[in-house]
Parts: sequence; structure tokens; C-alpha cells
Amino acid sequence: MTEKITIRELIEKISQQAGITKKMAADILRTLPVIIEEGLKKDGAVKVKGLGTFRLKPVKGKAGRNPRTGARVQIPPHSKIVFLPEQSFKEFINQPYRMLGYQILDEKKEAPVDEIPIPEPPPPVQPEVKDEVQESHEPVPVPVYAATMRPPEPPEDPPPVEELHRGKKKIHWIIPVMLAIIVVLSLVYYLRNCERDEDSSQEAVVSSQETEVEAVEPVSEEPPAEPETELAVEPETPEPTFNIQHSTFNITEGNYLFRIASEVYGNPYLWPLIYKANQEIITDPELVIIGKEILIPALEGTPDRLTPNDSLEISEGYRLVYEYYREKGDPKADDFQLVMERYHPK
Amino acid sequence: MNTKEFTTAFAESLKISRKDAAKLLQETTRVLRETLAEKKSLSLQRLGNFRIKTLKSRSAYLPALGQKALIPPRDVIQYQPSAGLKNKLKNTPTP
Repeated sequence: MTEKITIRELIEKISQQAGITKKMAADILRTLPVIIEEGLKKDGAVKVKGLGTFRLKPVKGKAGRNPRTGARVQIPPHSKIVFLPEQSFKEFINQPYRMLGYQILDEKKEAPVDEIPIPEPPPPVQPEVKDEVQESHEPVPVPVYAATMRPPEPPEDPPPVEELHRGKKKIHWIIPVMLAIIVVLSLVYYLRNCERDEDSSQEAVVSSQETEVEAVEPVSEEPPAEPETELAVEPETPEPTFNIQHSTFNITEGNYLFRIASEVYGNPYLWPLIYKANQEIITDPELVIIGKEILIPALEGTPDRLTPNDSLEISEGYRLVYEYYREKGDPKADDFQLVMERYHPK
Repeated sequence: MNTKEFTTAFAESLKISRKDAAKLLQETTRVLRETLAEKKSLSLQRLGNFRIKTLKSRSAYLPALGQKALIPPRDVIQYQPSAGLKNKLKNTPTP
């Protein structure tokens, strides 16, 4: 962000752009301030087309202090120079954000923005859905939810009243730990799910996973949750393929966005990118149609090192998912909103 | 000083026609805009520094909607006049 362009680079750019000599370009850059100064002296405002207006603004005299010595000084009234960029300039600068609009927050959830950062986004595991619309049209193509398992929900309900009384510090500490443990569990569950045959033992997986959640949650006050997440994450990314170009992916049986993202990007959490790129085909993020070809958008950076543009894309993707769930009134929407904000380039 | 006066002054000091001056000004401002759009800061001698500051998204109450909303992030252009220019114009009366 603080990258600076040198005067020489600037001159070169201008001479190339306008097809003039570098000397001429240098002259232009030398002349501009002179004219602006003249204009400001003459009538206090200079409009430069394409940039904006430089204006002299009066400042009232006030009492101040010398910051070095602390001595009182009287600052006399003077004029200062302000620059007001013109509308088109502002819009030009803000082009990357032009897709973003205001989002109305419900009265209930005003907190998420001020909340402490959550260690890991809640895992949006997508239940796989089979939709046999390939050739035979005899059966009504109703999407059959092969699996009804949901990602474990983070603790939405407020902590018990006793805990609230104990003080804020404790609660702040508990929430990330709880989330971390849930993340670990879901990762374990995800890995296990990958290995198994999908059709045979779905229910067994679901039930065993549920029991695990119940068993471990009471122990959630143990601090060593962080190393566990790291251990679990490492096998998660098998072969990170970099420099992915725009490509297509043929959905086969047993695939869902979360897994596809894991395969092509090496990071399952990037799945909203695919969701965003295939809005026409995929309406429900939990539902993909077998046999359809979907577009896999390319990343500017690598999955490990996302560029601000990539993050913005992902954030946009999560925003779409958030909006989808919000419309449905699904409480998962809140989680996706948090993730959306996490991915947003600062 | 409006655009017309500016272009005239520009043409006179570079000893080129008004038409050429307008074109060159357009190209120059375009380069400056593009440079800033890349989030690079630039400093012009005797004029000052320009840089981009990104304002994070935040939630705020919007009176027009009567509701709390998440305001998207945006970039603002910041200009800091050079010390020389500032001092020179310090005592220029504003109209």
C-alpha cells in the first residue's frame, strides 16, 4: 500500500501514454504545480480536470503548544490547501468495491463486527446431494438429500448466566477455544468422511460424530486447542496446485463444492469462489448437479498467499452464500457473514 | 481558476497549442489516476503527496434507512501539500 512511484517512473509512464518525449513529460510535471500555485494565489481555487479541485481554506487562529518544548504559542489565522477529488476520480479509485453495497444488519446481531476475531471460520461442509437429471426424465427430478448431516454449529446460544457473572475475560477466552475444538472435530469428521464409502455408512458417521461432539464439549476449557488445529490442517491440503488457470470441472458422484475446492485449490474454504463463478448453475450451495460442468475461477495469487483481489472475490462469494442463507432464515448465515468479513482485504 | 483558464495557462507556459495542452493534460491526469488506483503513493515536487487510504468496512446506523447497516470498505484520496507550497500560500487571503 505504501509503495511509492518515483518521479522517473511517472515521467516514463506519461511519455509512453501520451507519445511524447521524456523531457516534455518532465516539463509537464514541473509546470502543473506552478500553475496550481498561480491559480490558488489568484482566486483561491484551481480545478484540474480529471483530478479535482485544489482550494484554499481559511483556518481560524487558535492557541496551541509547541510540541517539543510545551510552550504556549498563538497560531495565527492562515490558509491551508485542500484537495477535493472529483466524483469520477473517487469512483475510479473505488472500482474494486463497486459491487459492494450496504448490508442491513438485523437488530439482533449487531455484535459481529466488534467481536474478537475467531480463530478459524466455521467449516461450511456441504452435504452432497444427488440429482439424477442426466438422461432419463421419467422420475420427477426432485433433489434427494442423500445426507442430512450439517456442519457442527458453533455455539450460538449465549453462555450461561453464571459465566457472564464471572467476567468478560473468561467468556472471550472460551469462545475461541470452543470454536477451535469444533473446527478440529469437523476436520476429523471431514477427513474420515473422505475415506469412507459415501453410500454405505453415512448414518454411522453422523451418529458417531454427534456423540463425539457431546463427549468433548464439556472438556472445552482445555487450552491446547491451537496445536491440534494445526496438526489437523496439514493433511487437509494434499497437493496445492498453484497458478490455476480458469478451468472447468465435471461434477461426479459424491462431490460437493467444499470437496471440489479442496481438490482444485488445496483449500476447501475457498469454495465460495466456485459458487460465485457458477451462479447460473448452482443456486443452492448445498446442491450440485451430477454431470454438470462448472467453471473454476483462477486465483491471482496462490491459495496460501491470496492477493487482495482474491480475498475480495472470496469475500464476495461468502457474501452470496450469506445472503442465500439469510433469505432462507437459516442461522448459518451469521457464520458466513463472519467469514466474509474475515476474508475482506483490510 | 476553471478548466479553461487552467488549460490556457498550461499551454502558454509549455508554448503549445490549447488543443495539444488539453490532450496532454488528459493523458497526464490519466496516468496520475491510474497510479493512485494501483494504491501507489506519488509525490510531485512543489505540489505535495497523494496517497490512497483504505477505510475498513464498519457497521453504522443509517438514518435514511432507519436501520443499522454494514458499510462496505472504500478508498479515499489523501493529499498533503508540500511544505514549500504550504508556506508560500499561508498568508494568501481566501476569497
